Amino acid sequence: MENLKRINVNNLKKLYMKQIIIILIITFSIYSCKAQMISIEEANTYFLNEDQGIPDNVTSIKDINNKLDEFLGSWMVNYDNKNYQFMISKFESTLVDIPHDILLIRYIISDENNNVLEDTSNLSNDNILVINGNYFLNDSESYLLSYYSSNFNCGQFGDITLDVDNNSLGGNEMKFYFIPGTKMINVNECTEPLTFPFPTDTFLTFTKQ
Amino acid sequence: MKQIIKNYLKLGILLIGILTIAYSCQKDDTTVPEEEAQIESLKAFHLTSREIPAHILDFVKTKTNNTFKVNISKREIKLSNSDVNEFNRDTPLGIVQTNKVVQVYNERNTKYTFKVSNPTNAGSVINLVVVDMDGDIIEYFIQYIFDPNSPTPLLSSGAIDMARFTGGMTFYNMEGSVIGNFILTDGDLVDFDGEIDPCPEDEVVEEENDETDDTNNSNSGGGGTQSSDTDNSSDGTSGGNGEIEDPDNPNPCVIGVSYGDCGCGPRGANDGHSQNTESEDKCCNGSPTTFTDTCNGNSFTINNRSISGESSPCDGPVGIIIEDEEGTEISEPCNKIAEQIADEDYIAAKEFLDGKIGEPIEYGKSLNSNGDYEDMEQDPEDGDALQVEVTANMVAIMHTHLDDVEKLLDNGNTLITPKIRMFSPYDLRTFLLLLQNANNNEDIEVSDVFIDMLSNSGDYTLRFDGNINDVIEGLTPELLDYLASNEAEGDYRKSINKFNRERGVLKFIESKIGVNGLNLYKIENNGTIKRKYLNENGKLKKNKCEQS
Repeated sequence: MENLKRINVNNLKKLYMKQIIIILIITFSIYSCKAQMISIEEANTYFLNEDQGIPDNVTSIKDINNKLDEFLGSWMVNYDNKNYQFMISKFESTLVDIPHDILLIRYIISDENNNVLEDTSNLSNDNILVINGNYFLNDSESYLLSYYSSNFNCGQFGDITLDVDNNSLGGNEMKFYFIPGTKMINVNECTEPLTFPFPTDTFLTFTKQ
Repeated sequence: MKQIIKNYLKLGILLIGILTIAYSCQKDDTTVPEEEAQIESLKAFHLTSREIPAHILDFVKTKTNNTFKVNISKREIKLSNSDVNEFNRDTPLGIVQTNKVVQVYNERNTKYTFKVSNPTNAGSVINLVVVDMDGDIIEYFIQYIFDPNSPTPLLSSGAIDMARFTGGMTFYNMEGSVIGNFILTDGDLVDFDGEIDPCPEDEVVEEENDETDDTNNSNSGGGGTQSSDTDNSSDGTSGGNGEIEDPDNPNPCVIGVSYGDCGCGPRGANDGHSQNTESEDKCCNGSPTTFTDTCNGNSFTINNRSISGESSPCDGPVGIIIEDEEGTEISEPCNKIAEQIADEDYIAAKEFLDGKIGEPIEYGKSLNSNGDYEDMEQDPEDGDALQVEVTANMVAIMHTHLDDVEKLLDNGNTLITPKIRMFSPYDLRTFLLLLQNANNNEDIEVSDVFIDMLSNSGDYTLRFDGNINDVIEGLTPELLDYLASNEAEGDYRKSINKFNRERGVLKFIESKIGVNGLNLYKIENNGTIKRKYLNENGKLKKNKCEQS
């Protein structure tokens, strides 16, 4: 009799647990559907309009149409006796307080003797030295990213644009352009000549590996 | 048996849950179709940015090279296709706002009214009207110019009462040229010149001349029905189609433009007006034109004015977005800024820097306690960077921010990389150091400290009116390091991306600096000063400065 009671209590607990799980799943699903997820293409409309912002009811910006996928993978170019290797991945970052799908670029720059000059390949996703994506530009093809160095304080930072040329080599080429940033600096803290790891004012054409 | 019933019950609960989910998902995706279903009874709608039809948004994007920019000059307003020579202060750029749109249907077309931010003139509001004529799309602009000597008439809702509007309305055509001007005093038309039809002549629709068309045009605001059709109640019907009565979503105001009788014989067949074949000598001379404010049903009528009697597929009610939720304030920073912009030395320094806007490097000037403005040097090691070191007698800094970078691509398109024309974290750090310095220097008043940012997106200035002890206590080495760091720049960039420039920098100040009294002001080209601030809900608000 005692055993029977114990079994019934156990069954009852299991039944309650199942019901709770079902209710939780339903609640979570409803919440998910109510959330205002927008595509990165739609978000671009707001990003490009400097007087607007992402509407407050938007809870995530997702790469629904896999528009970022053409950039993914390993890319290389040799320029001015330097080898540039980019490892590009997709990452769910946070735009202040909402998830935002972006590209990340880790890179290795080496000289003609394969001496590594810069290497960010092992840095974590949230490391500011990993190049962070922002959004697509006005041509809807070129993607804007932000580069910040450890010498940012002296002006070593800038914008990067990437564009995968689908017309040549079936999307195996990628145009890269670097625009140095500008800011006020304290000249007492910045005595060394400013250099950038990437060439300025020229397009680099990377090849997919 | 009980177990079977329980299983059915569980299955039932699961099915109800799935149906609820499906319903919820479906509801989110069907906003526009629901509105489509209401077209018959409701003709005017507020649309959110998500509800703007894609082809309308694409039209604006295509015409502006995806920038939403508008060239604004004294005699011309048109969408900007971002020619390089447009980036100067003579033709400043407005931005088409897509967060709120008024959509108005009539039988001939659907109009979408967008508000355009206007950096040139605080006393006017520009609306972009995109007209979809069964797939053919055109755009034009209407400018509402307020009389600075007349208080803006407001409805109890806070919206501007167009029936008591005093000022001017300027209509522009598709090419951006002025085609008509209306001057109104307290809602009465006192002068009129030109026309209001932006459609090119070849867009005029050939219509069957029958009474059904005339009636339809009357209902849509497109045409009157009788030569004596000048009474307001009738005109109210002509123009008024906003019948939404959701108290949480007030009716979008609509100006209905309707015409009275225009008995011009054969031309009447084209113009959408009723044709009075018995008195052809009337022939559009003195056609009454009525604008109807559908928010309150009032209307004002133009009589005995010779206007173009031709009607076109563009006509019918036009939505208006002119509500301006700004308040006013009298404060010490407002007074100080007014003094600042009237100071001859400041004007000279500003003129110098204005001339540098558009160049690929930043320029700046610093103000010392003797009242002199001195050039800030470019860093010899980095020509793009401005050198700044807060010195003991430094009161203020003015500097330029760069224009967007344009690059011509192989395919002939111009790639535009936006620059953030707003105070950077390092600018904010410099401002805090200037405040700290003023607190330590008895020759400098804290309230005199400012930092200016001049750009093609407008002039902004920071002033402080809080407790200086909050700055002194809050300005820790950690905060100074952070504001100079790449981490701060990354956080700031995200804030700007998410919230836009003004709200983004204010959010950044609020969340990362946390000192009350760091105020952001925008100085319009006409000298109007507005404080931009966040309300208790984190929304961007503005107060127009008034002098004490």
